[in-house]
Amino acid sequence: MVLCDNFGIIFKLIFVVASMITVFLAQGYMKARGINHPEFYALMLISTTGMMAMANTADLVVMLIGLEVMSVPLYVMAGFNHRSLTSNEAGIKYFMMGAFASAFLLMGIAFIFGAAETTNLRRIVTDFSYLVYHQETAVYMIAGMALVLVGFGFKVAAVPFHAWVPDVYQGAPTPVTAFFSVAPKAAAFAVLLRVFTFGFSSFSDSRACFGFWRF
Amino acid sequence: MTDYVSALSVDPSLIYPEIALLLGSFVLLAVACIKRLNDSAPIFTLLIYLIVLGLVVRQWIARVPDLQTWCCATISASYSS
Repeated sequence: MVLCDNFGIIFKLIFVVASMITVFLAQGYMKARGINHPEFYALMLISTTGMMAMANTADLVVMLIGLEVMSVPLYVMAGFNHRSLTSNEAGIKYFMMGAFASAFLLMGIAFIFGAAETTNLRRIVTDFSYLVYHQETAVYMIAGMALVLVGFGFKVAAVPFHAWVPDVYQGAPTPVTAFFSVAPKAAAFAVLLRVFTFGFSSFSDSRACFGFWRF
Repeated sequence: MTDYVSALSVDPSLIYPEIALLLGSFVLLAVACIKRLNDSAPIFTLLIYLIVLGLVVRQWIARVPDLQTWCCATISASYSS
């Protein structure tokens, strides 16, 4: 359910250092704009908790909970300058796109659970070849993997799911944009690497052995 | 068979940094309700992050026994010299 390996620890260090730099940046900026409220820092702490949970897990459900704990404070942080129209727009856009991404991701996890009957990556990696070989489970596994990839594509702003980035980055307060561009991206990449290089690591072998493309 | 895992099976030492962050955010919000914290909130946040950094580094040192041995040897050598 929860892991503590060097991979996760390195990402945790990245999150903490990025957050500390953001706090340094935010102090003067928020005061100058008249939005220096303690809630901003509490939101940042909660968001960092979600990132750490994401980097530290080998279970798809815990990963989704971590993603939501990370994302919900970020929506508020994007629209934190409530007197600015662009900041409000950034908050709404980020919320809409984040909701889309979470929906895709949840659908993908549901498909994977339907095929594998587990959300634990250790068990998925053990049974992966079997799941991809059998036609009735293969469809759900491949669809689930694709939807998980789409969900994280939105989160890391990978092409073609990157359209939300300019509006959100332009409208959000500058320290928040700095935070957005490092910490949540690192968290999403950590999970992507964990899921696709560990959980689905035998995907390329299965494709070669069993002729995946016939499906 | 469907696989269920109990949250009670999680070793709390694996999630000390997360617990510290959550507690810190709740304390920050609670104190902000009682008194104005506009100027001291960033300092409090940095303090929490420093504690979390320490906890993460402690997790890392606990995972690498050789590093722990090397650190102990270096520290004891510096004291003896």
